[in-house]
Amino acid sequence: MKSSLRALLLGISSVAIVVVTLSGLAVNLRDRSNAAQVRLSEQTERLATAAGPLLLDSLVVGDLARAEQTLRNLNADSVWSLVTLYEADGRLIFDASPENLPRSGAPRWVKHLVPVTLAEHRVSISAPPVVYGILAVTPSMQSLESELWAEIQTMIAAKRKGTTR
Amino acid sequence: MRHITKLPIAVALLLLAATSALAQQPQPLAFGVLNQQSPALTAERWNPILHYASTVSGVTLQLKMGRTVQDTNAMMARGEFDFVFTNHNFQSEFDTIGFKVIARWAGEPIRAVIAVPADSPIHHLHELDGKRVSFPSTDAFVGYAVPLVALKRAGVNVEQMFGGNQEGTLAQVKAKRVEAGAVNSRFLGQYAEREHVQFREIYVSEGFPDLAVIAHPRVPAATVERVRRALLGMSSDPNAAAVLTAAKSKGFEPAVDRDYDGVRRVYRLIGQ
Repeated sequence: MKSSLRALLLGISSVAIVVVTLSGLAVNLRDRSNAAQVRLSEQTERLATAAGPLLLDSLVVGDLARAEQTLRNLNADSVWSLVTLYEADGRLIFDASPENLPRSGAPRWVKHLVPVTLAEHRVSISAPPVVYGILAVTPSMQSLESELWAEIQTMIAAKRKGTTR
Repeated sequence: MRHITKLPIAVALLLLAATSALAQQPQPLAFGVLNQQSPALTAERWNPILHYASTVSGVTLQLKMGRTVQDTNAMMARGEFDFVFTNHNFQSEFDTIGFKVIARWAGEPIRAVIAVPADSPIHHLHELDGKRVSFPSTDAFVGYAVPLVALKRAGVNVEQMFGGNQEGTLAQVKAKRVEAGAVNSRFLGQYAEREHVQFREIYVSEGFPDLAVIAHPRVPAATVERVRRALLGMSSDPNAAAVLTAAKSKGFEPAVDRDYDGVRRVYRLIGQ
């Protein structure tokens, strides 16, 4: 009787510990997912802003091939899944989106943690009052998944290190 | 039934009218600008000026330029510009085209300056013998033709380097990739102020009229006159004040072809 009560208490405690740990992990993962999303968004904004003067130099002289090459070089790591340049009136000038996006290598469950869509970022390429083009870029989901997966692996490694000490 | 047969005719007539209206819209005239700065900085400076001149004159002007000075000169030679802001047309190779000077950038005359970093041990022209000196390009007037004549007269031989444009040359001096740079006096001051860098001038030439606005002979005289009036009127129009301040410009002054005889003479001295 005494031992079964002890077993029951031990079981309840273990379940509670597991629930609390998993809840902490879930909260931590959500926070990291949000942070990764913010970082990716900032990186997108930084890269797109940096591309502005380079693109303007090419567009002023009408060198579209160089403008496209500039964007492909900037997006060599496929941080953006969609890269398009539009005329001011919305007509497409060119699409420099990567053709073969690399797979993230993250397990399927990680993919459920990232949002379904990532917001498009637009930058006007202009020397007022003339608008030479509108750059539209969308961060790649793979990039976000990879970043999140790397974060999770680091977190797990840190927990393991903590428990083995 | 009668309505149904009339509909395609009405649509066709509408399309025809729209096409004809589009065809009647005047095509913008190409306004070439010499590469004194990068294309992006050139556009930031010239687009507001051209927008103002277009609005006032009723002649739509569109900035055009090549990636390099050589590209822009080649476009000018091929007749791709209706108007150009330059002084490279005073080289003999452009004599046959028949460009007409209609105005010039207002202000002090421009001078060729050979400048060194403020802490450079070089103080005199003759100390540049055998040293690396940057020029914007071999087509530049105060950035190449004038200083080259001065260096030849002083018996100084330098290793010629090229910065692509005025600011490219100054950037090379700033980075100390060359011992000195030869540039247009107007750009030296502007660049030094913007980049917070100090230079010492070791040679300053006589003054020459600043770059001209020239018109291609194919442009109708009435159109040229409207653009000329718009440019010359900028300095006295309060609506243009903000544009001129942003462009660090005093506007434009009247100019004629013979004002540039001195420029032609120097170009001929170096075989251009």
